[in-house]
Amino acid sequence: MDTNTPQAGLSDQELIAQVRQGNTRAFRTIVERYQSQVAATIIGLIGNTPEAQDVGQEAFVRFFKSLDRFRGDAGVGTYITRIAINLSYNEIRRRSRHRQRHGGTDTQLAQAPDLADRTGSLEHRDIGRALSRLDPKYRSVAVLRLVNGHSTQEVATMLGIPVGTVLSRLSRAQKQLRELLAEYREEHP
Amino acid sequence: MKRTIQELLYRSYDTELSAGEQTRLDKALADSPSLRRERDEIAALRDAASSSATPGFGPFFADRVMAAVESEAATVSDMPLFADLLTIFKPVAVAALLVLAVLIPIGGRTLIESLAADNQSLTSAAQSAYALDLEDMLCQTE
Repeated sequence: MDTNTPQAGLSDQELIAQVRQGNTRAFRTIVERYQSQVAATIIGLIGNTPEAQDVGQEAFVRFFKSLDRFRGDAGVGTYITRIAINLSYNEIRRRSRHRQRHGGTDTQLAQAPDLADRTGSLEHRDIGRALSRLDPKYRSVAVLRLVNGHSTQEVATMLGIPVGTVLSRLSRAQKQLRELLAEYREEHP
Repeated sequence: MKRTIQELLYRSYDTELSAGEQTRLDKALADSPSLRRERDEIAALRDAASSSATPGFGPFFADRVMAAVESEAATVSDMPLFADLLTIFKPVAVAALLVLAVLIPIGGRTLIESLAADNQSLTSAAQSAYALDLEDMLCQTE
């Protein structure tokens, strides 16, 4: 965490002001502050694959490059998460194109060693598998709301959709997740 | 539009229902064991999902990002030097372009040849003007 650095007590806006003045090291505090949130989003969307770290790194680098344009209307976490979501969608599309060209089944996500494998929890592994089978538009709301715990308003802001759409997608996502988990329970009672 | 009981059940976890909707849902839950079972399954699903969040990318992720960011910052800070170089070499670039324009043939003649042809006529014109001036001077002396 960022508790040992001189910048640890600074607000996001103060850190950004320092980075804009040329103190690149202040950016490290931002990375440490938001990497868990960004990781949860990306890994939830594309799985805990080697690409996940690359996407995470790219999300922070893009945020750094866009600091001059960042006005602070949305929070830093919301802004970076939005970048991470867009980059994750790109990765999902890239995999989809790869599958179309070379065949194969879904997905790196389902096959990837995800958090479930680290915790050794069958339930978590099933959640990861089930999430991977959702359409990306349902997967994103499920990851942001159910896994990461963002408010529905935050999810709406991050995805650029109305709150009503978030709620309806959440309902659909949960119905599908329950059906998938029921299938898994039948496979491995 | 009146929502179904199941819709209300899902929405109740993410938004505040109206008083009427909450009453409908409470009554339906009280009356239906299958709806209560569904509620319990949804709650279990949400608990499992919320506890499956990953702790992060790993211990060296911030180092990796900072290396990339510092590389990016170095590229950006090189830009003023590039601008200075551009200012210095701009006259050289313009001169080089002029040399190329002079040496490259256009319409069968190089620019030098074209200028040479024009110089001929200019010389003639200058000689004529000189002759007229000389005549004027002679007239004035007469």
